[in-house]
Amino acid sequence: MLHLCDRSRPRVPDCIILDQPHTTTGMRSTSLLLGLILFSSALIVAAADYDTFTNSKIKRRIEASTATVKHTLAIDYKGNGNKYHLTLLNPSKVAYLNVTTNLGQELKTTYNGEHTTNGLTYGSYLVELPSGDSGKLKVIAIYSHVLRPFPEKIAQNEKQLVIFEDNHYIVSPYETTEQTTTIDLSSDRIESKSEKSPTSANGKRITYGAYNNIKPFSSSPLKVHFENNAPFLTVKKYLRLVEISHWGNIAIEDSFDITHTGAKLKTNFNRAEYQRNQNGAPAHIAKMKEYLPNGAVDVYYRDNIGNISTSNFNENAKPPTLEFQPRTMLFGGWRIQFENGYNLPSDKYLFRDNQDSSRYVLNVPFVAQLEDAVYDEVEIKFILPEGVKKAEISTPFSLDSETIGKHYTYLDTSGRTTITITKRNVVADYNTKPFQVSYHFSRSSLLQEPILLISTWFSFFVFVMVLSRFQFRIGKPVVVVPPPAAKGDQMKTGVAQLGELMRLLYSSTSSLLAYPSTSKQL
Amino acid sequence: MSGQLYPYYGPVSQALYPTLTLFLNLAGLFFFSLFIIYEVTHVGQKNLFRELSLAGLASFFLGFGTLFLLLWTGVYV
Repeated sequence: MLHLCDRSRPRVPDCIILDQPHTTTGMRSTSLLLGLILFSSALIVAAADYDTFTNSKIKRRIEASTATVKHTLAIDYKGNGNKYHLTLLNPSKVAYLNVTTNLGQELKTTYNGEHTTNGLTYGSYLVELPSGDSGKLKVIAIYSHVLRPFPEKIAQNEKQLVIFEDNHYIVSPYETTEQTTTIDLSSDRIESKSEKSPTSANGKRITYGAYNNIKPFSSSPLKVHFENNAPFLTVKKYLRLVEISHWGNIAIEDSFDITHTGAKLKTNFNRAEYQRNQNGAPAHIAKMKEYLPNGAVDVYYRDNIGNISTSNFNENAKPPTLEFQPRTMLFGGWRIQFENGYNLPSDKYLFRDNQDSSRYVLNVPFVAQLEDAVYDEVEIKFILPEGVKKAEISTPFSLDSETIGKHYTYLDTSGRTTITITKRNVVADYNTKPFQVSYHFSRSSLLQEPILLISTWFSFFVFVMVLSRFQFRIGKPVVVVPPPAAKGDQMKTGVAQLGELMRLLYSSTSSLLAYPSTSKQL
Repeated sequence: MSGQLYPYYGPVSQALYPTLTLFLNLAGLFFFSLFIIYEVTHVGQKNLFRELSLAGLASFFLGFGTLFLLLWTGVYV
């Protein structure tokens, strides 16, 4: 394949150099040239500033056993420059991307837009390499919504089949000397698979390659049709509330709006058949499992109707595990909403800065660790204590939006500062990345709530004092003659009067108690 | 700007919430009742300082008592 040469970078070897249009060739050839330029504009974008590399070896492992597809690439590269272009098909479906060296050092990766070359639409990512002419990269990319159920509709007792599509060759702007792809499936039932010699299938594993000396952007569609009954659990809308209390607690509440995005149910749901044999419906979801952060207590699980009791919380497990059955089971296309929440101790997730005593750092997981879940839309609202300043969020990944707002709850006067962040297409693997919220909070602000309560009580007493200074008696006002009791005996007199009152109360209740006997006599 | 980070503990251990709630509210109610007794027994000849000190003590204990009651019941203010 040919690139247009960037004259500033003469070291790109396989390219054509376009001469300036000759003045005598006329309009026709100029327009031809223009057309050629337009036609190749994608190539220019794609190839213009690529440093030259050669992939000496790429091993690709694709795990397609759940609803998400995980690509693990081990790339051995050779060349010069420090910007490696990583290209991935279906960039809009990439939920998570992590690029490290083979020693685990994380590398800065920036998204460089979507391009099309040779019929392949790919996302281009610029990886900043550590110094050195050759090295190894480890890339983990997790895709959501790339497994397409086929047939789209199945009966209640049928197994779910899905189609996975990719490219036989690993898409790269560089020439690859040797590459292999292994695909791990959820079952050994493979309906069909595309062939590209050498191809072998062994049980749940398909191996493509090794392929040698592959040109950049070589295209050869890969397609595997196989059985996958994994839960296709898609959280269409996810809202997390994180409320911090400096009395030592972090309260978390998650709301889920879940849809089963696997193959839809062809016929009506048959309850009798379902009750007779629940294992006979392999593609449905009856149970869910969530891993909670360590130290989680006071777990609850409920929906709009109320508490759902079919849950089991194992707090001694590491991590603590919540297993629950939704109110109804989920078949393809079915939907359910619920929320669950718990409390976390502040000493595990909230930290204070040693140098700046008013600075605090919150370090909670990004999303809930709901097994097999894919999050389409994530919204997280951090409710910080009242009176915080300089609240900020630092994430190693990009966010879609970040807004500062106010939230009013118990014992608030000016309202609590909130930070709301949103992100689309998220998987729980983001929880491995350091994600922090930091703010400044003065310790004396903690006393605001008790002072508010004390002043409320005090105003009640003042109200009683004012009330007791009025006379509500009809007729002549009572003139009180001070009792002759010595100073300090006033309290004793008060107690004596209370005793008198109690006696009066007792006599009145005893006469009431005596009432039924008198009625009998009547 | 950011130094070393240390775990943040709340000013009062959660294990103390029930005890604090009980004793602070009991103390608060004791002063509350003294205040009410004083109010009903000293009609027309009140000592403002005495009234205010009883009210202050009662509201101090009841205020903190209510706070720990809220915290104990899980309303983390």
